[in-house]
Order: sequence, then structure tokens, then C-alpha cells
Amino acid sequence: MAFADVREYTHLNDDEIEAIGAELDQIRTEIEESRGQADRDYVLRVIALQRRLAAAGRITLFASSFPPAWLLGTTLLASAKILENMEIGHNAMHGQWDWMNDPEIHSSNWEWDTTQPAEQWKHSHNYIHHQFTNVIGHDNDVGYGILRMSRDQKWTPYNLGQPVYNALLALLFEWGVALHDLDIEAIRKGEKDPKLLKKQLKQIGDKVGRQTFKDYVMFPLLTGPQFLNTLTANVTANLARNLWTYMIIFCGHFPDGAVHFTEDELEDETRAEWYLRQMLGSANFEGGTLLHLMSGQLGYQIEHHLFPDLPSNRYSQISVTVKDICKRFDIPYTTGPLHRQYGQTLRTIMKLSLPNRRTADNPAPVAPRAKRRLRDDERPVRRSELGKWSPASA
Amino acid sequence: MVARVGVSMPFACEDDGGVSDVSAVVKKRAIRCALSRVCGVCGETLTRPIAFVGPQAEAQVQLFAFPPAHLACAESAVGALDGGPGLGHRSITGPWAVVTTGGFDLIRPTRRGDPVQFRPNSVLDTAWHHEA
Repeated sequence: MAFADVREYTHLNDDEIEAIGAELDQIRTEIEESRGQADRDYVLRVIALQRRLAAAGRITLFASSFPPAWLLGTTLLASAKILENMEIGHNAMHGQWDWMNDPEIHSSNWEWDTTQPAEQWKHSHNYIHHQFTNVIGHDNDVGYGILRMSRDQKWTPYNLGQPVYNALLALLFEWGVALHDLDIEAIRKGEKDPKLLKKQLKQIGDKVGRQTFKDYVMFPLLTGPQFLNTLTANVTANLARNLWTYMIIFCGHFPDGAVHFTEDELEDETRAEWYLRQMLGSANFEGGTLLHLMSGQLGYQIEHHLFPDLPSNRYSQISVTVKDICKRFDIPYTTGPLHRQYGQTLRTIMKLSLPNRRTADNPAPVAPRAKRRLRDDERPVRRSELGKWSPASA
Repeated sequence: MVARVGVSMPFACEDDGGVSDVSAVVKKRAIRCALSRVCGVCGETLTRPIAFVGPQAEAQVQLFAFPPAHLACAESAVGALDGGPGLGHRSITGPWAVVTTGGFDLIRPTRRGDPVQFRPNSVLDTAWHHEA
């Protein structure tokens, strides 16, 4: 639906929207002014932890003929991969740590432990997803090009297979992400620049080659007689990382309450309107410190979408004020336990495999036409003459 | 396409349809440069340190109209301008500045139609380029 028709948005007047924007600007200023050594220490601690987990996992796999060692090594390795992708790589590539001017922990240098080249992620995720959040036809994260995630998307018989496509996407998530920036739809329509396509395919090929060699040849070979055990451990660790990252990412925008938009005139929205669209299109989940760490703080997806380049360790602190703003201005702050958020996402995937006429809509976010937010040209002109109380009129 | 100043048209001054104007920044491209972390001059992935180029007034308040760039691209573009306008500016007063930084913030506009701006958040150095 068009942004102006979103029920959660219609009750706000221009002054209220600007007031929300000003409060969120204030949060940003406070974080920028206070970020420093404690934040630096945090990310360095997380990187040290990730590297120790990875090393411990690799070493443990030397004893992987002993099943508990295989299980422990695989768990340590999967944890390291999840931590690297979610809390370190994803956030570093957003530029969250660029202010430190560290030669390694920088958006221009970080190359993460997955098959998608960082350069393509920074386009498909940082720009396409974060700029056009939940705008159908623009944001490729809405179903990753294979799932129908909104009733506004046209149903075709292809969608009947959604439960299967969803399971495959979850299992092979790393590979789906690797192809994400190719824009399969543009290729299918013959709109993709062949030179760009060739460049991207080469980048993907090189990265896939390096990742495959590292995980499925080099490290298994290093463990000598444990080659097969290490190989299966690496396959399992990557599989576990795929399932986890898929679930966390899908919980960010598809639980009930997260709104999808069809309006594409977004380049001219104001900062406050952009903030609102991010808040309405995102969903959080609740959990403890460990859960938030292992999900790259994406349990604070709303805060992440409001401030994608502020340090992730501050999202918890920011969320207190954001929740308060939502309460005071009667804006939904979509959150819940992880199992509920994913359950709702899964239900949506199943429901939307059928045509709209076969399923009931979830609570409709569309406002009655009479209640939609007025366009600027429909609003009464603000009175500009001076009142009797004004000294100028005396 | 060749710009008025004799250098290839900066990536941020050309829209997706190929229409270009060296004295104007295309807002969509500027946002893309900031979020995708690509250079506003050449369109390729940024490297550290990040450079911002702008006239004296922008450097003094640390708020730039032209998106981030490679240091080499920024210096090359400013050199080609030879003290004249360009890179999103129809006219300038004072020398051009190239400011290097570790990171930056994208400042979205508070009014419709206004451009986005960029604020370096960990400045390393400022170099002034006077007319040759």
C-alpha cells in the first residue's frame, strides 16, 4: 500500500512527524557524541571472541573421529561463523565502526566469511534494502525474489510451492544471498547490463572458489586422517549458520505488524518520513544478551533501520527511547519472542502460497479512505496573519 | 561523456538514464554512494581513508554536498576543476578543500526537495587546492 494509506501513519500530522524526527535526531546526536573507547573495546572483544571460537573449533576437529569432539568442534565453528556474519561483518560493512579509523575494521576493507562478495552486499543490502525498505518491487529482501510475502504481490500457481522454496532458501541461504545482487528479475527481463553482470559473476565465482577451498579442501586436509569428519563438520557449521541467519533476517520484516509499501516516490521523503517508514516496516524480537549478540543485534531491527551506521552495541540503549517515542505518538513498536515472530513469518509464507481469495487477511493496516493522511495540497493553508495579541497588530 | 571541466562525468552527477550535469549532484546517486560505500567520482568501492571534496564554506562547517570519494579521485577531480565550479556546485568562492576521514554520516534532508549532505565524523586531514 502507499505509505500515505498506512493506518499507523494516518493519525499523525506534519508537526507530530517532525517532532518524532527531532527526537530521533537527538538520539543520533547523543550516540555520536558519546561513542568512543568503550565502543571500540566492545567490537575488539567480539572479534577476539569470534577468532578464539573459530580457532578452538578448528583445533577440536583434529579429534573429530571422537563424536563428542566432532559435535563440539562443529558447534564452536558454527558459532564463530554466525558471530562473524551477524555481529561483525554485517555491522562493519554498514560503516558502524568507520569512525574508529581502524585499517581492518572498516566498511571498505571487511570481507566476510560467506559466499557473497562484500561489495555486492553493500549494494544489495545497505542501499537497496535499507533505502527502499519493504517497498515491493524495489526491496529484493521482500521474499528474496522467490517468495510471495505480501498480499499486494500478485499470486501465480508458482507460489503454491512456497513451503518448499522457503525450506530450500533456509538451507541454502548463503547461496541465495550470494546471488542476491545479480537481480535475477532484471536478468530475466533482459534489463541487466551485460558488463556489470559479467563483473558480478566473476566476483561471485572468485569468492565462492575461495570459500569452498577454505572450508571444504584446506581445513579438512589440514586435519589429515580426519578429512571426512572435518568436511562434514564444515558443511554442518555452514548449514547451521544458514538456518540461523535466514530465521533472524526473516524475523526483521515479516512478522505481523511490519508494513509493506507500494509507493515508490521515496527519494523526496523527508528525514522524519524516512524514520517513520523504517519504524513501520521493521520488527524486533525479545531475548537476552547472548541471543542479541548471536543475531548481530538484529533483535533491535527497528533501531538498526533507524540508525544503520551507529554502533550495534548501542541499539539496546537506543531502544528504550524509541519504544517511548512509539508509545507517546501511538506508533506500533512491533516486537515479541523470537519463536512467535518466526511463527508469524512462517504462517505468512504458508498463507501467501494460496491466492488472496482463499485466505483471510491478517489485521488490515489499510485505513478507510476518509481517514487516510491528507496530502500537502489537501491540507488547509496555514494562517499567516497576525493575531490581536501580536504587538505588530497593536 | 566528458564534463565541462575536462574530466569524465562524476558518477554522482549522472542519473541512471545518462543525463548529467557536473554542477549538480543527483540525489539518488548521492544516497547510493553513501549507503553502498562507493566513490562519487568513479562509482567503484571506496577505500580508506575516505575523501570529501567541497568549497571552503563546506570544509569549514564539515558538511559536504558531494558524496564520499577515493582520495585519488577527489584530488584528480579538484585538479581538473582548476579552481572553478563543478562537483555539484554552480559557483564557488575560495579554494577547494579535500578532507580525509575514517567515516562519515549521511544527513537526510528535513524538507522535501532539499539535497542530502555528508558529514565526516573522524577527520584526518584537510588539504586546500588553490587555483593554478
